[in-house]
Amino acid sequence: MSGTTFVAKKLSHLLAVVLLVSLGVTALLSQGGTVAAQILGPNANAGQIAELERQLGLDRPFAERYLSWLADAVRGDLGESLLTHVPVTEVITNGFAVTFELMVLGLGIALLVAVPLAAYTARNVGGKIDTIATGVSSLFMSLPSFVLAIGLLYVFAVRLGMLPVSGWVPLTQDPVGNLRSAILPSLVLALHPMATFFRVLRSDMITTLQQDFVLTARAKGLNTAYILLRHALRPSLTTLVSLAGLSIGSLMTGAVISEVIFRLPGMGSAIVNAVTQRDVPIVQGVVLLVALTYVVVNTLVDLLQAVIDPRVQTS
Amino acid sequence: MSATMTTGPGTRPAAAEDEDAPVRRRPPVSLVLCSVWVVLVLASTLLAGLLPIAGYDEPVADGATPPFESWPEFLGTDSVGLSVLSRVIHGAQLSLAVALLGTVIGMAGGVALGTAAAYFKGWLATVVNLLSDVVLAFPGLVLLLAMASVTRPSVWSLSAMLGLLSLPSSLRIAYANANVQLGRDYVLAARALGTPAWRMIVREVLPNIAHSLVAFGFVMVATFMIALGALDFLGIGLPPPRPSWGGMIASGFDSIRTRPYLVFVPAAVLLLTVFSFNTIGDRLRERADGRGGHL
Amino acid sequence: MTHDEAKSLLRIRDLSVRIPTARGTIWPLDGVDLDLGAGETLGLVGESGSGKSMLVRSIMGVTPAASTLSGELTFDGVDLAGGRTEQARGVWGKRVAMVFQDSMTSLNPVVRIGRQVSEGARRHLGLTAAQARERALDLLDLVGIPEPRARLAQYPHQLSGGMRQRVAIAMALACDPDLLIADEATTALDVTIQRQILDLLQEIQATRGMAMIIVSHDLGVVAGRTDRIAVMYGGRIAEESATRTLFAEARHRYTRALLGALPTLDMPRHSVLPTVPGSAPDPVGRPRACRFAPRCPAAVDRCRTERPRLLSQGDSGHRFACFVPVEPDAAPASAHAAAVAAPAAATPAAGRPPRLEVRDLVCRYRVPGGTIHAVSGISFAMPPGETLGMVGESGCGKSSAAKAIVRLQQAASGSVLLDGTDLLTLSPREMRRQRTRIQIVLQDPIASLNPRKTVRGCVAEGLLIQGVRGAELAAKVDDALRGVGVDPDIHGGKKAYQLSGGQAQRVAIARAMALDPDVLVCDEPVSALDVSVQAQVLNLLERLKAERGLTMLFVSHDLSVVRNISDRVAVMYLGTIVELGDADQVYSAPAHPYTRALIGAVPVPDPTRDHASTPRLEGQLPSPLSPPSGCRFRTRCPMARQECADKEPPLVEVAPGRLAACHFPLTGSPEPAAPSPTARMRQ
Repeated sequence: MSGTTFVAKKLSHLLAVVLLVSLGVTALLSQGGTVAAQILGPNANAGQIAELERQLGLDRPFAERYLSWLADAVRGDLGESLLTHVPVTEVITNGFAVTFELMVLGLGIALLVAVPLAAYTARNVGGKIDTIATGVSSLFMSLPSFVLAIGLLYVFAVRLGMLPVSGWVPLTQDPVGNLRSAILPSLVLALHPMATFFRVLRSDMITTLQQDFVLTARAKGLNTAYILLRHALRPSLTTLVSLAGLSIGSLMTGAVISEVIFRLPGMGSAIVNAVTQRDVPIVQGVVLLVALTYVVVNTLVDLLQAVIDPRVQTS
Repeated sequence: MSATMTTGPGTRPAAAEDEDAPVRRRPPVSLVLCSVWVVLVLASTLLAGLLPIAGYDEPVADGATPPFESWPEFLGTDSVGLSVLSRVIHGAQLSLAVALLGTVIGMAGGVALGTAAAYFKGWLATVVNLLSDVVLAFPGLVLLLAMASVTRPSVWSLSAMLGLLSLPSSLRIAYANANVQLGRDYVLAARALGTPAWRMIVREVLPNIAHSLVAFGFVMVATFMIALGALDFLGIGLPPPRPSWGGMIASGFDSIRTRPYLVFVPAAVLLLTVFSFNTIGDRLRERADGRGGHL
Repeated sequence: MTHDEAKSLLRIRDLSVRIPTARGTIWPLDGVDLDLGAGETLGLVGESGSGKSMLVRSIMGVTPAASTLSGELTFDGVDLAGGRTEQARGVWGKRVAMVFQDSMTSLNPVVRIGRQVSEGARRHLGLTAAQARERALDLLDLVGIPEPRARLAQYPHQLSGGMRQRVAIAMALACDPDLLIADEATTALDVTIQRQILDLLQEIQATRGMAMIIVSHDLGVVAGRTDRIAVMYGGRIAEESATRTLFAEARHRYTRALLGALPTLDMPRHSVLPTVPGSAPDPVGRPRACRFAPRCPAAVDRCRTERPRLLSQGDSGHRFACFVPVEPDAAPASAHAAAVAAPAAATPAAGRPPRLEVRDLVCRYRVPGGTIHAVSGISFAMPPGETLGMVGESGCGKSSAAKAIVRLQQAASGSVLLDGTDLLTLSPREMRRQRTRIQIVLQDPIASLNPRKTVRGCVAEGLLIQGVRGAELAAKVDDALRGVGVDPDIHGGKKAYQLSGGQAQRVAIARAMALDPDVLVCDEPVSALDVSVQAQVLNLLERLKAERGLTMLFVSHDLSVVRNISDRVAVMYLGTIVELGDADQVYSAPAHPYTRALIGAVPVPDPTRDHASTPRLEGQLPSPLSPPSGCRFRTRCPMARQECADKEPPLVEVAPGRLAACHFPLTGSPEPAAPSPTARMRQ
C-alpha cells in the first residue's frame, strides 16, 4: 500500500470516528427533557416549555439540528451556551488550559516513575524492589481516583495543611502557586496510568530480555546497564506507547473527578455542569474536542511506533 | 501482591549436592486472601437479610458515633444514626449486581465480536475496529453522565452501558488472543479436516483463550466497581434510597474534617474489593507466564 | 589428531549445570570433560536436549540466570565458571565470541548494524566512535557484504538471512577472538547459503588461526570442516575423537545409531532406516546410569546401574563412555542403513489416469510493499501409489503449493484434480466430503495438535466432522492410533505437550489416516524432529504407503530425505518447477544447473569428501516480490546468457520421463566434479 493511500485510509477512519462520536452524543442528549425545563424551573407548564424550545430551535427534527451544528462546527463555530450565552469555544478555551495542564503533568509523572522502575524490576524479577513495586502497583490499579483524591485532600490539605484544599492559580499568574494547586489533582490523574504503564513495560521488558539478541549482547561482554538502555528498552516500548495514547480517555475521566473534588475551573467541571443542566452545545463541544484529541494523539502514536521500531512501516 | 508468584531467576544457593526436589509452587497467599475476601463480600451481600444487623434505613443511634463503640454497629453510625456496617453490606448489593451483569454483557459481546472478527477478517474486522475506536474516543464518564441526565439509571441500563463501554477492551483482548491462536498450526490442521467456522471458534479457539478471558473478566468486574463508585459519588448512579459505597463516601465527604471514618470505612471496603478482583485476575493470567530473562 | 593438554586453550573438567524447575532439578550438563587447543576446530554434535548449546553458553557466560555451574572451566588460565569476575569479563566477547543460530532473532531489530558490529570493540578495545565505524566497515567487507558503508545505517530486517548471518559473524570477529563458537549458525539457512557461510567460517578460521567450535545437530555440517568431533547425549559427552576416526569407527552405541539413522544421498531409495527406539532422555535428575541405556539395544545391567566414564582408547585421543562399545573392526556406521531394503512398495502404475493432477497452480498473496508470487503456475500429475518429492529452498513456494492443493491456502488460479474432480471449485460442503480422500501432515507436530485436546480427541475430530459417532468412532480412533504405533491405552488421554516430538507427529499422522485418505500431502513432516526420531517417522510413512496404497506428495527442504522416500522428484525455485523426474536420475545426473548446485551444497556426513570440489552457488535468492525476467534462476546461474533473461524456459521433456525448464539443460552425464566416494557410489 502506498503512503498516500495509507494516509487517506487512516484519515477517513479518523473522520468517521469523530463524526460518529459527535452524532452519538447529540442523539443521546436529544432524549428526555431539554434545557427549556431547566431554564424555566420546576413550576413551568408544558406550553411555556414548548414555546421556549421553539425559540431555541429545539423543536426542529434531530437530523436538521445535528447537521446545522455540524455545518457550523466545520467553520469553527460551536454555538453558545443555552444558559449563559457564552460562546462554547470560549468555555472550552478557558477550561482547556487547566485540564490540559493536569493531563500533561499526570502523564509526565506516570511515565517518569513507571519507565525507570519497570526497566529496573524487569532485570531483577522477584527481588525486593520488584516485589514492592508490583504490590504497590496492584494497589494503585485498584484505587478509585475519587477515593485517592479524597485521601490526598485529607492528608495533605486537611491534616498537614501543606497544600491548598481547592482552587486554581493560573500558570501565568504565579508559577509556584500554580504548581501547588496542580500537584494533588495531577497526582490523582497520574496514579492509575503509572501503575498500568509500569506493569505493561515490566512485562514487555521481561519478554524482551528473553530474546536471543539480549543473549548476543551479553555474549559480546557488554555491561548490564548498557544492554538495558541500548538493546532492551526500545523494543519494549511498543505496547507502552499505544497504551499511553489510549489512556487519553481515562486521563479525561480522572480530570473530571479531580476537577470536581478540587473545585478546579477545567473542562471536566464544565461538562459535569453542562450535562446536569442539559446545556447541549457545551457537551457537544467538549466531546468533539476530546474525540479530536484522542484521534490526533493516536495518529501521532502510530507514527511514533515507526520511529521506535524500524520494522513497523506506515502500512 | 507482596507474594508475587513470578518464578523469577533468583539464583538459589546450592543447598545439598543432589537436591532434585521440585521447586514448590503453592497458590500465593495474596490469591487465597483475596478469594476469601471476595467470597465474604458476595456471601454477606447475598445473605444481608439474614444477618443480625439493622436495616440500611433504620437508625440505631441518635446521631453519629465513632467506630468500635458498640456491637454489632462496630463501624460506627452516621449523622442520622444509621449503622455504617449495615449500609456497607447493603450498599454492595446493587453495585455487585451491576458489575457482574455488566461484565457478562461486555465479555459476551466482546468475545463474540472479537473472535468473529479475528476469524472472518475483512470488512467485519474493519467495522469492529472502527466501532471500538469510536467507543474509545468517547470519554466514558461523560457518556455515563449524559446517560444519567437523560433517564434514571437502572440496574439494567447501567449494566448495558458499562458493558458497551468496556466492549473495546474485551473485544481487543478476545481479538488479539484469537488471532494468535488462529495463526497456530493446529488451526491449520483443523481446517484440513474441514472444520466449519463455528466449530473452529467454539471447539478449537475458545478453549485455548478461555483462561485469558476469565482472568480479564475479574479485572473487568474491578473496573466496573470503580466506575460505579465514581458515579455514585457524583450522585448520578443508582438512585436512593438504597445505599451505595460511592454515595456513602460522597455524603461523608462533607464532614470529612470531623468524622473521617464515614469516608474511609466505605472507601477501604471498596478498595479491598476492587483490589481482590484485580489480584485474582492477575494471578490467573500469570499462571500461564511466570518467567525470567537472559540478563 | 591428538590434543596436547599443555597447550590447551579451553579446559573443561566435570562441568555441570543445574536448573531448579517445577518438575525437579534438571541437569542440562552433567560432568563434561573437554579440551580445545589453540587453532583447533571442534565439532560439537548432538540432538535437541543433548546439552551442546548449554555447554557453549557456559563457555560464553550466558547460562540462564536460574542456573548454577559447578566444575572447572578455564580459558587460557582464566576461570570462567566463577561468575562475572573482572578477568572473565575480559574474555567474554573479546577473546571468545559466538555466532548464534537465527540471525533474525539474535540481532537486535531496532539497533543499526554499524553499532551492533562495533559496540563490542568499543567496549573491549576502547575505540572511539570514528575508529569503531572504520572497524565495522573492515569487518563487513571481510565477511563479504557488498556496499558495507551503506549497511552501517541499516537495520537487520533490511538484509537477507545469509547477509544477516554474515553480519553476525562480523560482530563476533570484532575483537579478534582466539576462539569463535558457531552455535547452529547455519541451521536456519538454506543449503546453498549454508554452504557459503560454512566456507566463510572455514576461510576466516584458517587465515586467522583461531580456534573454532562448530555446534550442530547435523553430522554433515561438521564432517569435512573439523579436526575433532565430540558427540553429546543427555548432558554428557558420549564420544570424542578425530573427525575421520569418528565416521570410520565410532565405538559408542549412540554415535553408531545416529550415523545409521541418517538418510544419505548414496543409499538405495526406499531404504528402511535403522532407528533408535524411544526419544531424548528426560532432563530431570542425573541417574547413575548410562543415559542412552533405555534406548540402547546392547544395554546390559551395568549400563543401568553405573555411569560409564569417558575413557581414552590408548593414546589416540579417541574417547567414549560406553560399557558395551561396538568393536572397532565392525562395518562403518554409515554403511548400516543401506543394508535393509524396504518392503515391496506398491509400484506406481504408469499409464493409469492420475490420482492427483495439478494444473497451472498459481498462488499469490499481498504483503506490505507488493505481491508475493509464491507459486507461479506449476503442473504435475501423480499416478496412484506414487510418492512425489518436492524440494527447494525456503521461499521457493513448495509449502504454499502443498497448502493450496488441500485448500488451506487460497490459490489464485489453476486446478487441482483428485481423480478428475477439481477441488478448487468445490463448495465448502463438497470439499468437506473430499477431505476424507486427501489429507495433510504439517511440519511442527506439537503445534499442529490442539493443546486443549487429548490425543484421542485430536484423532476423533476429523471423524466427528464426517458424522462418525459412538462405538464406531472409538474403534476407528484406537485403530488409527495403533496403526501409527501409538498405544491408545497409554497415550490416548495425554495432551500434545506431554508427548515427544516423534509421538506427536505419529498422532498427527493418525489424525490424517483416520479418515482413510487416498492422497497424503506431507509438508516438511520430519524437519522439526531429531535425526533418530526422523527415521522412525520416515519408516512409518513408507509402511503406511505400502499398506494402504497411498499416493503421497512429500514436501521437504532436505534433499537426502526426499531422495530416500520419493519415486519422482520435483525441484522448485522461486515458484516454478525447474526439474521433474525419477529420483535416482535427477540426483545422479541433474539436468538443471540449479538442481546440480542444490545437490552439491548438501552437507554430506563423509569427512573424506572434498567440499571445494563441487561448484558453490553464489548470491542470494531474488525477492519473490519481483522475480527476475525470463529464467528465474539466471541471476545465480553460472551459465546464464542473454536468452535466459529474455525468455522464460518452459518445463519440457529433456529425456524420457525427465522434464527440465532450462534453455541449456545439462547433458545426461554426471557433474564434471572430481569423483568422490559418494559420487562413485551414486553411479
